[in-house]
Amino acid sequence: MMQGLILAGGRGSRLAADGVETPKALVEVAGRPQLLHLSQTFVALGCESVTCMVRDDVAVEVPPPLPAVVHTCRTPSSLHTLVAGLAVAPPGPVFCAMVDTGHARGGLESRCIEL
Amino acid sequence: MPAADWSRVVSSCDGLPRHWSLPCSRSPRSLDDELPLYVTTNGAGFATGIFDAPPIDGSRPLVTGGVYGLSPVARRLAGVAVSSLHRMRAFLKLLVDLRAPVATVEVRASSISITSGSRRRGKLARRTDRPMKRLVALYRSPTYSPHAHRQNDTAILDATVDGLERRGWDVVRTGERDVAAAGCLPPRLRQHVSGPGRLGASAHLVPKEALAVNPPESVLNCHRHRLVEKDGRRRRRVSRTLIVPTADPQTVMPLVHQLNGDGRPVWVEAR
Repeated sequence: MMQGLILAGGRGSRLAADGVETPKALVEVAGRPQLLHLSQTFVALGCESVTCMVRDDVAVEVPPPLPAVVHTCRTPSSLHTLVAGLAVAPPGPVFCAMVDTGHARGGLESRCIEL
Repeated sequence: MPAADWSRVVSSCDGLPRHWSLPCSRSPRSLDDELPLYVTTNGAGFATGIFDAPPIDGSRPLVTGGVYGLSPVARRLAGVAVSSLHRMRAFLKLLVDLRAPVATVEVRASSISITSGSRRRGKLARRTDRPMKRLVALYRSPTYSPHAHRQNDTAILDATVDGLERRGWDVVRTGERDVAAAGCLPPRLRQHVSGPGRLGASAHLVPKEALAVNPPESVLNCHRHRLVEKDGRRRRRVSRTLIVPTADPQTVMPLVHQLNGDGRPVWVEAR
């Protein structure tokens, strides 16, 4: 059974440089934090669990009934965040995406865009 | 990306004996990533090379970034590799170097409109009508960075690049191995090089009036660079190095076996 893992351990420094102070995981798309959109996507894809790794100074609550568990971390890179997430995710294969993966039609998300 | 493609990506890494799955696109412009990875594949769809810049051998690489599927074996390898590597892309390259099965799943682009940081910066630069300063961040080969030096060197360069990007610099990140493999610098910078070049051509990147903190000639004068080049001419290969966490040495055994799969020697260092 596939486990889902969302990486949101970054500082969001590039967003901040562009004047967006909201942590990346909580940036709203269509009225909801993108972390929630991606969690729903993972559930829709059949992930048995969804583990969200967020920076330790970001307060995130995932409302039920989404089966997402939020863990905090302070890591120097996405690879370190991945490993921290793998340590707490349930056993088995893992499907993983960065939290700023975009939002596509039909409620499923993608990092791909068409220009 | 349509739902069917997402399902295909998920099913490709669920219960199959491959280590890692990468959703990939044919069009570099379709990926919302400032630093996409370029992936070359074999006929079966497995990655044969992962690069920071498009290869110049005429092949049409896939691009990827930000979405991954990991088998239980890949999970264990990531836990070991993080003691030596600092970046996700470095781990992906290591997997391919180790000939671990990294499957690609080709997907289509979707019609969403997220502005990436690089595009945003480009727009800002156009708006302010200021030419962007350009920089090549050249990560040296991890083979030459034992112990903590690899993380330290990468962290220093990462922090420097982040700071310069915030100040409006246009930075291309690449690696020593990628430059050597491609035979030239990333395409965006070739215009600055007066002729086809190998690594030595990077000397042309530094104008005479510019201050270079670590100029290309310093890299070329590095004794390790000379040693590798010399050994290459003699058809000898430099042994690869694997750094092993002494707290749990057994976890690295799969990597040792994979490294040694082609019969070449492996140096194992304890830390």
